[in-house]
Amino acid sequence: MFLATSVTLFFLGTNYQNNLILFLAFLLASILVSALLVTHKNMSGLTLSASPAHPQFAGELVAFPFKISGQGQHYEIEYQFQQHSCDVSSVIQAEQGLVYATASSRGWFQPGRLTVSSIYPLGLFRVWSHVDLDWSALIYPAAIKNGIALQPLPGKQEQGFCGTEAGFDEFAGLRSWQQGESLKSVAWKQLAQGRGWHAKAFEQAKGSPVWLDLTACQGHLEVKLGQLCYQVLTLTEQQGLFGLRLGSLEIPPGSGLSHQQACLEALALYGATTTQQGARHEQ
Amino acid sequence: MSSNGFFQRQHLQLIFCAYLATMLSLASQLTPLIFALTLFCLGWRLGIFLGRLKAPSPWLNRTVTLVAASATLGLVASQGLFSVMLHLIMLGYTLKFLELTQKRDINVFICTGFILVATFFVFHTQVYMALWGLVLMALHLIIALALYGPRWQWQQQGKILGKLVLVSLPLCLVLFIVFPRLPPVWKLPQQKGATTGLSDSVSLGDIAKLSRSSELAFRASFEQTPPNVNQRYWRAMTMSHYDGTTWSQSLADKQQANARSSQVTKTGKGQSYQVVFEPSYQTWLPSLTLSQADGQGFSVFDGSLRSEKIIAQRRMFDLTWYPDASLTDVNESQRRQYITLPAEGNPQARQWAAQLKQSHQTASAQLDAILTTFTQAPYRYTLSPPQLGASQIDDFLFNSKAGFCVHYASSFVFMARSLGLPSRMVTGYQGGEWDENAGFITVRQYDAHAWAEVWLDGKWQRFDPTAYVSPERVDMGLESALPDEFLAGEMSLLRLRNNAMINQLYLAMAKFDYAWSVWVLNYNSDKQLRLLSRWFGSINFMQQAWLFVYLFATALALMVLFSLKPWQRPRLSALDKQFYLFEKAMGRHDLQRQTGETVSDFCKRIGHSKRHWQSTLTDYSRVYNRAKYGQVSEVQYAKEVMKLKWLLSRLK
Repeated sequence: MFLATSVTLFFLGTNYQNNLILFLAFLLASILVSALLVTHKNMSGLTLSASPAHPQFAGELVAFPFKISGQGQHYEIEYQFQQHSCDVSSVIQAEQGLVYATASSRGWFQPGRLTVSSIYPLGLFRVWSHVDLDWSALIYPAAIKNGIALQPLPGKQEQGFCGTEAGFDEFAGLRSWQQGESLKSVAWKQLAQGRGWHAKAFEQAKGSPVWLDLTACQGHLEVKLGQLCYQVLTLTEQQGLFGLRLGSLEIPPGSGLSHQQACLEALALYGATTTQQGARHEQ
Repeated sequence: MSSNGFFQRQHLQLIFCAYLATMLSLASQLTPLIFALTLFCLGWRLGIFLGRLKAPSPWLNRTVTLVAASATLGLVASQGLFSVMLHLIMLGYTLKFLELTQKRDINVFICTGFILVATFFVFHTQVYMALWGLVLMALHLIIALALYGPRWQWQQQGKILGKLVLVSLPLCLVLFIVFPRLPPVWKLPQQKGATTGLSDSVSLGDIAKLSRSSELAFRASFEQTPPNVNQRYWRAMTMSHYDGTTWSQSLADKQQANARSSQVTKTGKGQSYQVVFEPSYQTWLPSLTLSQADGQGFSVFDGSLRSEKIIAQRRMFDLTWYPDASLTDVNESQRRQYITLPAEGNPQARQWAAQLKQSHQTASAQLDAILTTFTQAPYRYTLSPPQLGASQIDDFLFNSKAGFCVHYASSFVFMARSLGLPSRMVTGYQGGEWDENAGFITVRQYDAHAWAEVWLDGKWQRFDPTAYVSPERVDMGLESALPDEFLAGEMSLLRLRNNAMINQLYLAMAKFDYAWSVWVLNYNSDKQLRLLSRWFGSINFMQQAWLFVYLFATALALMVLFSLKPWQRPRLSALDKQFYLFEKAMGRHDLQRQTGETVSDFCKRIGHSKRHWQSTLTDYSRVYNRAKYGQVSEVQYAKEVMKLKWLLSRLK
């Protein structure tokens, strides 16, 4: 449109034999050319470095963080995945950015190349580049709500292994503090360090451990994994003691966030080849 | 605030600014209806922005557009096609306000703005107007910048725009100077304006109005000496028909003018000069008696010059003046026209003519007698003469005896015709102000003048009766002739010119303005070829095309170089520079740092092979790490760098 305007002005100037209009036309044409250069320059020298992404559940948005560095100013640069694009636009703050992608299935998710583009300064030209930042994120199965009975399953139960439940005896870790909770549970030390409001979670031994078993669920494999995922989340929330059995893999009963993470990882990677697992296991 | 994410308050502010500035600049050309529409659209837009009103539905939008377009067209249809065009563009520009919903709409708005700036240039070509036009253009560009570039940062946006224009300028200038000027490709509707200056008929009292205007009429530059003051008669047209009150061109004259034949006998050497005419929306070219034009002007039967096209913008003409040339041919039908008077009226004047015929033998003696009468009191020269009765000539000659050039010229031609001498009225300008330093004569509207020509001794001769009444008017101009009446009631810079400094400033501005007219506004293919020949030797059209390509490529290359700056290496800090020297020094001993090896490790490794350096190297790595990673003040940093330099000197 800009070019068309410039040409129109040129004809106007020629037909009215008006040098000022011609000057205007030439100025617009020149600005067109310099805008091309500025657009290119705006993105040249831009360096992106990927930071590891946090695991996410299938079907949800995965945020991929990255660091931006470069010489000079870079204005209005857009980041978007070539394929797994989603409507949520990227968030850029100073030298850090987040770009979102939707992961559809569990396992290691590779979002593919990132399209970095810009139409600065006048929206006349678009400069772009497809960058491979070699990102990957672990995707847990989507949790499927179900009502499997949470009973101690018959199996090899080891003596001396005790379950825990939320209580006041043993410090188990930190969780985010919610309004209305006792101020006694606030982790003051962490708050003073500026890490936000946390609550100290304490555990207390609770009944006997529960076993979550793949074979106990019904339906398609992915559905079963989803159901197990739900159970893992629910049990962790209830500070229950549970173990996980996935075919040959067996995670001994435990509780807490690290136990939950181990279980979810096992669920995410169930059936995946071990070599890939090794290669991609960065976290 | 707005439902569209991209559209922020700053954009609306900028668009308001650009819109108002553009519309007010063109206000004099627009019908008041547009202003009403503007208020309506601005109000609505503001309402939408504040959340009080809803955006108009497409249906309503279309209705408003149709109604507004038909109403406006109905109003301006009589003003010519150009006005219609301008109004349609302005209408689109105004209504775009209501539907700024996508980025595309804003792009359309911006581009329409550019076209409107161009139409602004059709009407205004002065230097300051050109600058204002550029400001308007910048206002539109900054909207785009705010949309696609940094938001909310006025300074940043201004800086970026400045840089963008600066980088574009060389290419733009090359294009302007070298790009071949084409003849008009097709005919576009010409803008219409109120005609200024002389009109094609004159009645007693007409020129007095012009005498009150200090507006520029034209400027003429002479390479050598300018004509003497009493030779500065700028002839615009002759009038042969008199109906008792008004002088005008007869139908026969008009037909002859279209035939473009002139009967000028050129004698003697011509003197070339250039005249830059201000827009008069007419075709007369007031020029020295007698002149010939080349190019866009032509001579007509009575020796005056006409332009091919209406002068709608400042235009320059190359003219040649032949002071000794004369108009020699007059045919029988013309002769009859030039002695025709209304059958009745002004009996006293006719009676006086009869007396003169008896008392004086020759025609020239009779005319001299009339002029001598004018030199005697109580005939006087004034711009505000008393009202005249039905018999104007009689009333003036024998009753009021007060008038200005038209009165005297008109009476003189009447008398000459009563004597049976072919004669006509001439209008144009007389005098003008010569600026020695700048080399041009400035003629203003108050220099407008009327005189007479009489066919005597086989050629047309000029008689200026005003010169007999008021010699100062002809020799020194209106200002000296009538110091009291001159520009009475008008605020003009000219009245301040008694102050030496203001006068200097005024002259400098006038000179610049003239150069602007000649070199920028009237830079045409002739001048282009002349300029390029001066720079690059004589060239023809093909060579000019090639030259254009070369220069274009050069300008482009320069732009690329300056915007990408390939010579600019990433800048190293003082510390990195020191370390670079250190690595180079070690390299001379065949010691290379491996990739990924830290400075400490590298120093340790060297220390193993060069034991005598070990302690220095330990110091080096410690100082380096402290400067690089520790929190040090600037002064400390500089000290550490100096220390590294000293340590390096010990490693040789």
